[in-house]
Amino acid sequence: MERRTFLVLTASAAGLAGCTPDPEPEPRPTVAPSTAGPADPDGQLRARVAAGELGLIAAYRSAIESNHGLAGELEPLMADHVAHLGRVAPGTSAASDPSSAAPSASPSASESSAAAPSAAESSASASTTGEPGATPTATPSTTPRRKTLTGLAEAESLALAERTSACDSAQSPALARDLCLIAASEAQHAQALLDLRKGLGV
Amino acid sequence: MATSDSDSFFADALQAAVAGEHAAVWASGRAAGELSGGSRLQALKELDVHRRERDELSQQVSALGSQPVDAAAAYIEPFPVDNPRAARRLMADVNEALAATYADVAAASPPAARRVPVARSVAAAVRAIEWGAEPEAFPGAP
Repeated sequence: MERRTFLVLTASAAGLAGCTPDPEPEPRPTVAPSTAGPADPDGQLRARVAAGELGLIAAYRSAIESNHGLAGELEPLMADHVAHLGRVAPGTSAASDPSSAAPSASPSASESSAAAPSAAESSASASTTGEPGATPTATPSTTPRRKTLTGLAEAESLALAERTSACDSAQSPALARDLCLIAASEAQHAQALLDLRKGLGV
Repeated sequence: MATSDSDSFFADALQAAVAGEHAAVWASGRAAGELSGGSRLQALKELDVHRRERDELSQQVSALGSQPVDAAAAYIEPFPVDNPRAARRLMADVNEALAATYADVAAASPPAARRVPVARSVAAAVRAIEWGAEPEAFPGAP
């Protein structure tokens, strides 16, 4: 609230609070495109975005399971994706089982596939991966974290591009606003993940 | 002049963005006064960015037949900005607020014209991180 208060103080003449452009309530969306009702022209778009968010949630879960030491940093970012999911598809829950969370044939499956490496990949040492960025001082414990953070940052960047594109397609101004802010959030995540990787020295 | 509800929403959103950029210009100058080295240079660089975006938005408002809002006669600091840490927080806060303001512009724009406000929202959100903000699910939104 403090930031909002600040903006009101600094830009009060603009009447920012009055800028929400869609006074009509949003129809409750569905997740599966095949069940999207005709009442919601954004039903399929919502389903596509929801699938992407579920993929990211699954990627974070996998990353945390493979790198418990990063849980403190990654869990808040995963929680943001749960919030995104709740906004674009309120009827959808982020299942605890990642395999059940990601719908099949998801248009955004690439978001999760680009993310966290598998446990097998994560256990590989720098000497066996041959990764160009690996330094001679990299230890078996830093390399998986490096790969995890890089993979998640790439997935966030891809999601940012997809949300930006989705924003162009939204019929509802309120959904367009949400997608814009979700894109901004995912850009923040990508930056934070890269900063974290840099800060850890991995 | 704005002739429909959608035109009015768009004009209002643009005016809010002009006001937000006025505030960001002020904040960048204020923060630069408390910073040094690379951080000061970054604040001054942002000052130029915010001036440019303010001017572009003002032209858009004028093109709609409206008078762009002026900068406030004075700005109230949301907290004492008397050290580098507070200056960084000011920059983070003003950029987070801008991210939400540009999302309002995107919402009020026709679909084909959303890319620029989305790009500005994203850029502001990333700048907030660079100034030390924590990531948010909906940057700058209450």
